[in-house]
Amino acid sequence: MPTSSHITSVPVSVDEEKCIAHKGCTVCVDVCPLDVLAIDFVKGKAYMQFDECWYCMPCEKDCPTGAIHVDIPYLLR
Amino acid sequence: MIKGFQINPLIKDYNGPACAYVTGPFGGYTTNNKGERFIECDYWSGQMMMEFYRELQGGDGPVFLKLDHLAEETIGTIETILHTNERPSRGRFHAGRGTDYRQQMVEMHISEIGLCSGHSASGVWVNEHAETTVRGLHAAGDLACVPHNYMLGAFVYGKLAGESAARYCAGNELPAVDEQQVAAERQRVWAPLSRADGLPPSQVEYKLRRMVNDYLQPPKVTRKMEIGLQRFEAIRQDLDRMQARNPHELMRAMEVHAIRDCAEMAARASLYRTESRWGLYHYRLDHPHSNDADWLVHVQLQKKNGVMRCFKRPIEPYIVALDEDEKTAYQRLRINKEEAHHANELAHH
Repeated sequence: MPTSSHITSVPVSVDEEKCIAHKGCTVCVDVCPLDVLAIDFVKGKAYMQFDECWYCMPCEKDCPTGAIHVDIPYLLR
Repeated sequence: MIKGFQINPLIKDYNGPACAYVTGPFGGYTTNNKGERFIECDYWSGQMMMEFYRELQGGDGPVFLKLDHLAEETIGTIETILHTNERPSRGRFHAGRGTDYRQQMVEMHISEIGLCSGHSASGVWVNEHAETTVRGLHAAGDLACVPHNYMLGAFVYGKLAGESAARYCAGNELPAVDEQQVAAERQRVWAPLSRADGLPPSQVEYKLRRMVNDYLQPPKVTRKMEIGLQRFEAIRQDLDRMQARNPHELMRAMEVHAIRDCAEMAARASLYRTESRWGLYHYRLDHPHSNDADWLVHVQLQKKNGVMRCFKRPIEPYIVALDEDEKTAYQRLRINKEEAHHANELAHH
């Protein structure tokens, strides 16, 4: 089956300077009710893997270092 | 009981309720595009959505949440509640569009349909002990049919379900696990992981949801729902073609199975009840009137030999008797302008 990948702007951004996933932190991944955040094990940083965000914000509120910011998705702005 | 599905007034373009009912005690309310109230009560119901729909059809829409007449400290209190509780990103959404409750009303829109029983007249049937028709299976919350009971219903039925489940466990031994059944279910659930060259679950879900909204969204039309059933039947074949590349996609693939089942149940139950009831929730254009003689009953679905089948279940007698006047209160939700005007005149003399 022929497929394509298209680029999409996602609402959750992670400040990699502040993110401490390399120390074993997974708070944002654990609190996300939609299972859309993940840890990049090569970089040791959290990122938004799936574009299915409801912008409910526990990831931003619970991040112990304030590394996460949730924007309203462009399509709804 | 599936045909009285949920259709809510949400904030236009935002995945959250406008919460007019939260602002009500502070003086906020639902209006049409002229800033006029048109419903007596802002709480969600099928009749409330019918009046909302009529406002849109009559050219007086969109419908708005109005707060701009309130005092600064009242609006501040409302902002603290609405922007920190159910949807904390709501303030961010409004700020992005320049919507300030002090100056602008908040535009609302009718949501797509859903089967959230706590907010509608749908869900899995339970008795007064929160028991389903499957022995040993108890239900509460938005799954169990305790219509329009919201959090209060979830709390009360959570307690009832816990108590009755504990009683059941105390009186019954654990049954033997059917290993064959477990193996068959594991094979069904994991199948998308071993498929190559399959359909992406996100595309199957998108198509299915689009068909649901195109064919089942009230007002309901018999021919459209019949076509919807054909589409859902066709999509059943697609379930066995979905591919998942990771656990997340597998979860979404399995959700598509459940969404498709719900779509078929909604269509079959809606077609079975040949009358209209609960305002917009079950408004059938080819059967526009209520018929208590034949339909003051629950309509439920069961699986018999692998096929969905509808049947009627009688309504239990009311525990608290209703006045005759109260029985029609639901149908009198629209503000009667002449009566309101007359009351106003009297108040001024």
